[in-house]
Amino acid sequence: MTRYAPQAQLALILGLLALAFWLSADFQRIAAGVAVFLLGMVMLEDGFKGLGGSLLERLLARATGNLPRAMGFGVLATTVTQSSSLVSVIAISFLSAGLISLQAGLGIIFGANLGTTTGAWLIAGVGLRVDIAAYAMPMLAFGAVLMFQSQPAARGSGQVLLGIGLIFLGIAFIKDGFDAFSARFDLTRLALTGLSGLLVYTLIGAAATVVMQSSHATMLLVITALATGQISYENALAVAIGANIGTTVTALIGAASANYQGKRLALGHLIFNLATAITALVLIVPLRITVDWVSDWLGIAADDFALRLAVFHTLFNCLGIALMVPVMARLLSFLERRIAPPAPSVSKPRYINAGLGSFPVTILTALQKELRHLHENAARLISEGLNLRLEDLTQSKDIALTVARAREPIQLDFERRYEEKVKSLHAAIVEFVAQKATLSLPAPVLTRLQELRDAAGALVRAVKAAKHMRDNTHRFTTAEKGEITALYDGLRHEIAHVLVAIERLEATAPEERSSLWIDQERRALEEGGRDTTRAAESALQTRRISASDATSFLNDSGYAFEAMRALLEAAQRAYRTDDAAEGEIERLLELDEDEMEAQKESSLS
Amino acid sequence: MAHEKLAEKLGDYFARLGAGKAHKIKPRDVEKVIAKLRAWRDALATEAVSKPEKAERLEHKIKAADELIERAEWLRAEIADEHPD
Repeated sequence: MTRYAPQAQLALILGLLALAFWLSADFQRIAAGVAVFLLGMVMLEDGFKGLGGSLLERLLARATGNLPRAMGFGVLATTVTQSSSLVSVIAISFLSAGLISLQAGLGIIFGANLGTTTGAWLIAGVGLRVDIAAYAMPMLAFGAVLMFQSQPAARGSGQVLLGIGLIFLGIAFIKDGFDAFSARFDLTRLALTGLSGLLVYTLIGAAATVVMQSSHATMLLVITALATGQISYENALAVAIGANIGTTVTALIGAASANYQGKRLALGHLIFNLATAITALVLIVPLRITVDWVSDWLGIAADDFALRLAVFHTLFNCLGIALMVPVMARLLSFLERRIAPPAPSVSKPRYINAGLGSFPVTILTALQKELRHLHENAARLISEGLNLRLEDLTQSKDIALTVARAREPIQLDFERRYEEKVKSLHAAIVEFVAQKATLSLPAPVLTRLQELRDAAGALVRAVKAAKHMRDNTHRFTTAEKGEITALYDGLRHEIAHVLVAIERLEATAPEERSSLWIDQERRALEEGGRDTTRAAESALQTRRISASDATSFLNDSGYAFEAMRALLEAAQRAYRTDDAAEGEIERLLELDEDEMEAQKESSLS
Repeated sequence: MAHEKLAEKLGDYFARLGAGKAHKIKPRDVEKVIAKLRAWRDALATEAVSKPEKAERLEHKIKAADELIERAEWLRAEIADEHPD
């Protein structure tokens, strides 16, 4: 039965709309206005994503220091974009990627709720007072021209202009529709007073917001209805409260695919809005008195109910913040208890998840962290496969000595560890990149995504190559067997050196390091490869090793160098600088396979 | 030609840039990369003095760093010709 619920709900909405259209032609104009308004909101949101999505993300990353800063970001970003859902979704994606704290996320949501009240001010203060459609026309024309340009900045600006134009046009349609509607109908006959009016209209406000997926649209309708005398002021206040409850449904839907942190944020949002709504309903009488007092003080006319509703909307959201900020610590503790983090697992992705949305900085940062997670698993498996402890190597002052002393065999089911801790993570990364590649992301972001996916592939190749040399390494290094042990220790030393060099890069501040340092390691490795082969040949010629051992060694030497090249290739891609221009330079300067081969030949000759 | 392959890659980059699929590089961006390479080269040279047992390996890296710096300087000159700061 519940399987068909969405279809039944859709059929009901469409049926009700058709009935209303049949009953009133003016209602068609109002509904079309809402549709155009919602289309404008979507266009505006897309425009801001394209134009300043990365800017918003960068600003958001800095809004993590303390609660006032996070709230300030929420207010400002929502005021500018007029989209609390865009800001909320970015906050959820940042939190899901582990880039901000839960407290910062809640601060942003609180701020976004307050920022959304500026929409009511714009509609009541400007939208209903001027011929807004006249402003919409040039915006639509300029916006359409810009939107079809290939440059992302021009396209984004066009979408923003077109979005604002459509919003203005929607407001004008709704205003005209209500004006015509008022001449024939008087909806105030449906007005309810007292507690029943408060509850019924709160539910209507919540339901309208859930259906339209926009509290802005509900506020627009109620303010316009109020201005044309189609709803009583008392009932309009209740609808505004209901809109705040309804908007949390959008956030809850958005959080369904987020990780536990995103779910905590959505629950916090729900608690904040419900607590604010309940308090506003309980304190409706003193709130209304305060609204009158503030409105008089601001010089708002006694019969200007549209602006007084905007004052109410702002005041009750401020009340919510005043209520919740003092109990923030308890709210955080409750959310953390209520939604526990999943048990830590090295084999499951920690950072990439479906809740990251389509925000480039968030996607790339989460993917880089996941790649580091994969590298840690791979590096541990490779070193333990060679009977070495990664911690011993990274802390060692003399790697050659640490390797020579490592004679204790490490018991390990290599294949199982590979399946559980490397292959599964690699599969998750490949799937994540494939999904994100379908989004309309900027070309440099797509290039970076592919580069990080290739880095994950290189790590897998490194592990597979190391697996091939495990048996012989075990055979020749767990007990002293003369020259062949020294040769295998040499290979282990080379691999250990590469793993330590990568850790050194990881420990260097991102603004100081360059992926080109890896190029130097790659070239030093090729030189080392020739030395290793020469050492084996020399040992064979002087009969210090048998021909059989020499063959084993040369085969394993091939695997070892394959593993090291793959590790360095992965690191070079992973540690590419975040600065787009510097990243391009690094790609240009690093040697490709042909150049590396040419250098090898020139140094041999 | 000393930097034939690099010149080829630079041509591809300019083509991508023209199509709006690459980020614009300015000479000062190349300067920043050169500064990082020089800092790394100096660190390697210091390490080679303090750890003579690693001298041979470090020499390979210093040589590679010098070549990279030379390539970066060539790139800076090319970029400055095409897109001055």
